[in-house]
Amino acid sequence: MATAVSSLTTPIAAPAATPSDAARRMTLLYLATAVALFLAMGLLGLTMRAQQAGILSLTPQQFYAVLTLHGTGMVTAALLGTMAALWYVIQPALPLNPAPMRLGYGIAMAGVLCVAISTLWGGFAASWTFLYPLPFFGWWPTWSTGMFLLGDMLVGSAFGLFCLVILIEAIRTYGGLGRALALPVLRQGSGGHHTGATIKPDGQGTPDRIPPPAVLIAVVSSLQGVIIAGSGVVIGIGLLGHLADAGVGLDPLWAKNITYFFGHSIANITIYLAAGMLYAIMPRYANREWPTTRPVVLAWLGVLIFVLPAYFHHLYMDFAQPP
Amino acid sequence: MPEIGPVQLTVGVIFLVLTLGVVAVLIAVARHAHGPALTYAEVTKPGYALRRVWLWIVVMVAAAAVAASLFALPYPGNATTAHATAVRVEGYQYVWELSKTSFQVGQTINFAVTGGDVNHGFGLYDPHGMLIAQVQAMPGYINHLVVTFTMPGTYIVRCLEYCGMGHHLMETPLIVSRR
Repeated sequence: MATAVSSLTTPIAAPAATPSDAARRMTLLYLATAVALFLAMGLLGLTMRAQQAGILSLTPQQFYAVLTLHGTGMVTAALLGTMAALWYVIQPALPLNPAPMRLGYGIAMAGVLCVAISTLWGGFAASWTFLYPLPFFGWWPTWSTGMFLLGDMLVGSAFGLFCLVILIEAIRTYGGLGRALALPVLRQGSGGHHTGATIKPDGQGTPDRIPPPAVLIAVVSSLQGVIIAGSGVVIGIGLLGHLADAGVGLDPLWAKNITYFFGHSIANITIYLAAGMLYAIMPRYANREWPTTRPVVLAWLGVLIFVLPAYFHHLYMDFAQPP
Repeated sequence: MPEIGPVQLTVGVIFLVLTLGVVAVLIAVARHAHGPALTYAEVTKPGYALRRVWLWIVVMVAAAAVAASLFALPYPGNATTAHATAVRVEGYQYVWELSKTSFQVGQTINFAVTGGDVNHGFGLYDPHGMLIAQVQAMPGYINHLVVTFTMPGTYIVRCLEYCGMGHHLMETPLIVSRR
């Protein structure tokens, strides 16, 4: 126990490995884009407020197109920023290849372009929630509906790619999904909150190969992220199918479930990505270790289970569910 | 200036007090953070004790909130709908169509709500402008909402689910008179 305590008091200001210059540049590109997007969407928010205050005189069509772009763009900005930040801070423990991140950036930017063109030029204004069948009951041209849905799917796919890369790399590094989720920590001793004293995070010269909390959180978020991105593709293809052939009818309640599963979860997951960043930054800032303890693992397994069903709160007012 | 209702005021005051409390804690921590750094062992013992107590406080508060609110869910049961007056509600871009718009105080209404084209939100505001009930108006489904009118006056039905360019104009009055 004495050795364990002394290891915990060792300053860890310098991580075992620093991210490469390429990783640094990639992260800065994502963060700069996220901040620029956030500021641009903030201006759109200001535009809507000015309209409500009677300073501007947008038509309702223009106002709701701005609303649609603002909502979609803000979620995208939060997603890009938190993705890149978590990607960067887990590098000392889990070095990642920047190439898929570069590809993901291109895909996401193509998506952002599609959403911007469909709303600002095409006038698509079914809101970022695009609840079926509203996208097909508007004044905007058909092409803008298709372009918006494509844009959403591209952004979702970029996030899905990011998650897949982290999952694959974590499973390879730690030797299986169970170890990447730090499950061995649960079997260690009975002290619960003291188990961190016997298992040190990876990346600090330990043979235990237990992921540090930030990597555990990245793995939990990525597991969910793959499912979220998949649901985005499902609802996107369903709506595009209806766009191509109006005979392809969707059930509005089914569509609402999938849309909110995707929309709520992809916005919500940004908080967890940011939490992962916190777990990595706090120890360095406070010059204290934040080990992967049993409460940390239990809490994040709880997150794994509870976060995805949370979207149901968007359907509290649908008394028809369950039918 | 729109009138601020008692509920809004209460929520505003609670929010302000909680926010100031958090800020006070942050300031207190910052003011006491200048001394020499404690060793990790000194920090963990009270930290873990605090965490354990905090966990139980959160669990108890959450459990109490669930217990207190679970049975107040607005989903109609068979007992509440048996003697209720049935009213059909259909939402269209951008109008409400109701089979009946005049009621009496004390009357219990079973609104059968659906959407004629896209999703709408049926939101019922009392004469003081307070939202007293709401349900989604969705195409292909009928949602039942049971409401008992307790005060006379003009109630307003507003659309609470974005439905297109006339969404913000989509409202209709209901008149509730004394018996």
